Amino acid sequence: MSIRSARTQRSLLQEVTSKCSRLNIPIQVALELTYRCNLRCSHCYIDLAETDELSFDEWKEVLSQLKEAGSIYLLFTGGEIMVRNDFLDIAAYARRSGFFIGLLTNCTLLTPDISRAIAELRPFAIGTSLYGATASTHESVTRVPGSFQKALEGIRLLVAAGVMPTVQTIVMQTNVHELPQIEELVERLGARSDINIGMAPSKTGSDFPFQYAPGIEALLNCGWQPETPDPTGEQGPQLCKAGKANCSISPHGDVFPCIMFPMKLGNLRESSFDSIWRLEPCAELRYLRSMRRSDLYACNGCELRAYCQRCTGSAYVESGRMDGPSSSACRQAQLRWQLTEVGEV
Amino acid sequence: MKGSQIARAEDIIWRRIEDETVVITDDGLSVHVLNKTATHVWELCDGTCGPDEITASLCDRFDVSFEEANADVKDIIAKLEQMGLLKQAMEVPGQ
Repeated sequence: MSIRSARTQRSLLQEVTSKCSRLNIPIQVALELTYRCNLRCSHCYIDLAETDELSFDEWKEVLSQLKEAGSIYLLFTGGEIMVRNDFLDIAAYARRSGFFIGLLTNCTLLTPDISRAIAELRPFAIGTSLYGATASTHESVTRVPGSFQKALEGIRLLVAAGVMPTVQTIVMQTNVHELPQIEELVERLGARSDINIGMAPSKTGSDFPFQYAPGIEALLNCGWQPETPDPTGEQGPQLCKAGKANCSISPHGDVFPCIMFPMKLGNLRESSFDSIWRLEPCAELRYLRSMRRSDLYACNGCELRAYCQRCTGSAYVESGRMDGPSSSACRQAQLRWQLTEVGEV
Repeated sequence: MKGSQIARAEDIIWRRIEDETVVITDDGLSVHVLNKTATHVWELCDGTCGPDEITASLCDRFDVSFEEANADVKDIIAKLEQMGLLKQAMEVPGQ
């Protein structure tokens, strides 16, 4: 049989993605349209201000180059993508040009018209954030009064337009007591809840976001437990597809292996994507692509490796080496181990 | 099918990946991976070729008889049409 087919995305797409990873074809690309945002979230990992954003015409050229490189899935993110007046034009152009698109938005700027326009794009994913089940908790993080009701209304508009957003909640000291209520609220809204403890360092390498992470006592008493792997399994952290099947492009055209991996590979105003990615990859990118699990010198012997969700980008930020340990992943593995072991006692 | 030009459906997204082609329906739900031979056929289904021209191209590229290749081409086209990935473009005048 010369044609393999699947009605569900997972099996064949995983196979395709693995092949892209082996061949360094960037099948999924995160496009950061802007770092500007109408919220001021306390833990936000974007601690950069950038005004020299690529124009719509420049994004058109980038999209053309990405299609040539084999990209299929584009994730539009920010900042808040909707502070750009032309974000829908860019997304619709991308869809017409033969890409699947996903969006990350805080939903506060959505209108009925924008929601319907987004639904027409048939996005493969829409992610948004909710930091509390109440206005006071949510807005203690976003630091913008009224943002809770606007976020809820935006989620309702998307659901009414036939789009089911995934509502992500990062567990923080301020919301750890409301996690079951957040899940209930999201369910009532008709969306999907995703609660996780994966706080990340900032893009410039600062660890300030971790001051907002909850301690083990609070997590143990909150009535919510993160998904944990089989602790008897020998699986350790897997190497991700950053720099291989995944990459990201910043608002002014810098190319990175992934949105969480601030190792600049080049700039699209100075070089073509093909040159940066395939023809003349820098030494760091070549090393990233050659890395094996056995190169994770601090991780392979770790007793907590079954609990670890190491991010190579965070490891690069935190240890200065992409094959080094990620201190945040170490802490979070410790938390998962404690939640599993202590929670079972 | 003999004289019809074959075109790819409009509501699909596809990319060549090495010697294979991944084809995904516009709703993102159906994924198909075409092997090397099917990829060659697929790339010629641009609305200007019929099965015989595609077969001739296949014979130029691979060491295969016209009869054998023509049967494969028709089989591949029929399957891709059944999946909604290909369509008859138009009738070739005089055929």
